[in-house]
Amino acid sequence: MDETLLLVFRDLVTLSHQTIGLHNEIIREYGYCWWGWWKKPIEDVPTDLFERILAEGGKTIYLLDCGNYLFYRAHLTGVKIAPSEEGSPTPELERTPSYYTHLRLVVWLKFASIQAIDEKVIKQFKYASFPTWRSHAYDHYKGKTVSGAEEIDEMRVTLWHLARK
Amino acid sequence: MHVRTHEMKPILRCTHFGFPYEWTDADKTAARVIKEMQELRPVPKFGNPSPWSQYVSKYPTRDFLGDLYYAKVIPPDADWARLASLQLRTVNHNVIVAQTLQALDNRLTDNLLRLSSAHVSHEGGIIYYTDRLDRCLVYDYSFGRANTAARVNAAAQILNPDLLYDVDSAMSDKEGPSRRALKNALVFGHKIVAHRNTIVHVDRRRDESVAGPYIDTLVLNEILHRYIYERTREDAKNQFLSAVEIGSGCGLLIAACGQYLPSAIHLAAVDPSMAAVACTHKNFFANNRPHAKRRFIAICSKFEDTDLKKVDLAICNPPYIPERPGTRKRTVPTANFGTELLEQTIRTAPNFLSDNGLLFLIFSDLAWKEFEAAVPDGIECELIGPQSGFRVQFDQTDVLEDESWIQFLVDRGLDFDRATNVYHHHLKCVVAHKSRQHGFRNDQILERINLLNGGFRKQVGG
Repeated sequence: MDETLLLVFRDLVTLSHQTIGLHNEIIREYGYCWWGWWKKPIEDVPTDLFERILAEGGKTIYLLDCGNYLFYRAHLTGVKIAPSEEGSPTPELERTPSYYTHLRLVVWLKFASIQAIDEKVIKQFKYASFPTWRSHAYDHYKGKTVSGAEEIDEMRVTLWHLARK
Repeated sequence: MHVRTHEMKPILRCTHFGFPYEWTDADKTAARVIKEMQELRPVPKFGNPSPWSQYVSKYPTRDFLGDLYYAKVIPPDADWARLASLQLRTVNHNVIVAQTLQALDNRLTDNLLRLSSAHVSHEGGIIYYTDRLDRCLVYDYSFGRANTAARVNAAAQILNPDLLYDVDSAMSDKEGPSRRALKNALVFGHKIVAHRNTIVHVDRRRDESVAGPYIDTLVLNEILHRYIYERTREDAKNQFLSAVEIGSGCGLLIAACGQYLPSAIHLAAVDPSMAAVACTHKNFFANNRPHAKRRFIAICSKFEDTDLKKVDLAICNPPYIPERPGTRKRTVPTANFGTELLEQTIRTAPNFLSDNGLLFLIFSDLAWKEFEAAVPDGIECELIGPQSGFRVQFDQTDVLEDESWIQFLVDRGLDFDRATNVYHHHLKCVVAHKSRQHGFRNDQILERINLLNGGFRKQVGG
C-alpha cells in the first residue's frame, strides 16, 4: 500500500503564511528543519505507523494550513518521539524556528523540504485510518476519497493516515 | 557445551552514604507502579501516557533513578549518563527508563532557563546530583539564540561521589565529548549545581568568598527533603511559618526551602560576605517567584548581630574545620575554617528557635568536640543518619599543606585511605530543638527520623 500522512497546522503564533516561511528559511540554511506536531492531548501517537513510513528512508507527507486552506508537500526524513506525553524539546534548537523552541512536543518531524502543492494532489488519496483517534467516530470515512480541505478541516483529528487510490 | 555466565553485581539496599533505596512511602508506591508497568500488556508505546509517567510527574523533586535501579529496571552496572544520552535515539528503548529520564531532562531544562537571566555562560556544564546522592551526572548544556530555550545532554556519571567537584575520579577514564563536558562543568569558572529541582550558579572567578555548594550542602538538602519537604504531612508542614539559613553561602538550602516549604512566609538568609548574600539572592529568585504574601530577606551580617526570633526552621551548614591550638583567631569569618559559627549557632539556639522550632545542622566529626561542648541547657539534639556520620573526602588544600594541622585533625578522627591516597572525614547531621514541652508539634518528624534511621537516633546534651 502506498501510504502517507497528512498533518494539519495553523499560523497561530506567527503571522499568516509565516509558519512555512520560517521552516523553509532553516531548510535553506541547514538542509533540514524540525517540525513539531502540536497534537491534541486526547490523540494517541501512532508510533508503529511512523516507524513503518520511515522504514524505507525518506517519505513524502502532506501538510494542510487549515487557516488558509493551502496544502504543502514535505519530505520527511526522520522522527523523534518523546518517551511520554510530557513531550521533549526539539532535538536541535538551531534547526527549529525560534518561536517554538521553548515548547515540549511529543513528536518532532525532520523535513528536508516543504513545497506548496495544488489541492488536487490530495484528492488522489483516500482515508486509510484515523490512528490518533481513540473512538470510532470517523470510521465511516475509511476508504473514502479525500474531497478537499473543507472536509478535512471538519474533523477534529490533527493527523490522517492516507493511502493512494 | 560452554555456557557463558555473568556474575551479576548485587543490588545495593543503601547508597554509599547509607540512604536506603526503600526509604519513604513514595519509594514504596514507586516500586508498586514499576511492577504494574512491567506487567502491562500491551507495553505502553512512546509518546503516550502511562501509569509511570503520570506518577513521576507528581513528584517534581524526585528523579526516581535510584528506584529504577532498586527495582532492577536499570542494571547494576549501567552507566546512567549513557542511558540518559540514549533516551531519544530509539523507540525500542525501555519505556520506563526513557520516561524517567525525559522527565529529568525537562526539569533540568526548566531549571536552566530559570538561571538564564543570571549571566550564566551560553554553553557549559551542569553538575546534577540524583536523589539519595548515589550518582552525579554531568550534563552539557546550551541555550538557544534567544535564551528562551535550552537543551541538556548527559555526558558522564560519577559513581558514589563523596566530593562535590570530584575532578580526578571523573576525568580519569573519560574521552572526547565526555571529557569536554566534565571540563565545562568541573574546571571552568561557572559552577552550576542542581539537586532535587533546585539549581544554583556560582561564578568562581567573581564570587571567591561564596561558600559552597559542598557535598555537605547536598547531604543536608537530601535530608531536609526526606524529613520535612517531602515526607511531612501537610498539617505538620504548615507549622513552619518562618525559616532561616545561617551562613547561606550560595543559597541552595534556602532556595529549596522557599520552593518546597510554602507555609514559610518569612524567609531569611544570613551571611557575613556581601558576595554570598548577592549570590544567595540571585539563586533564591532563580528558583522562587516573588510572592505578595511572602517575604525573603538576605542579610549581610554576622549571625550574632542579627535579631532573629521565633524561627520555626533553621538550617546551617557552617565552617567546621577546627583551627589547630595556638592559631591566632581570624578576624574575618571564612567559608571553611573555624568552628565559631557552629558553636554560636547551637549555643544561641534557645534565643532564636520558636518553641516548636527545629535547627538542622551539618558539620564534620572533626568539630564534634566543640559542638558537644557548646550545646546549651534546654536544647536536645538528635543525630540523623549513621552513627559514624556520612563519609566524605577531605579536600582542603590549606590544611593538607600544613603537616601539624593535619596531625591535629588526624587525632580528631581524620582518616587517611592508603589505597586512594585521600583523606576522609565524616559529616554529622543533627536536628536540635528546645526540650519538648506539652504540645510540642514536631514529635511526628522526630519520631520519623528515629524510625527511618533504624535506631540511629542519639541524644546529645540536653
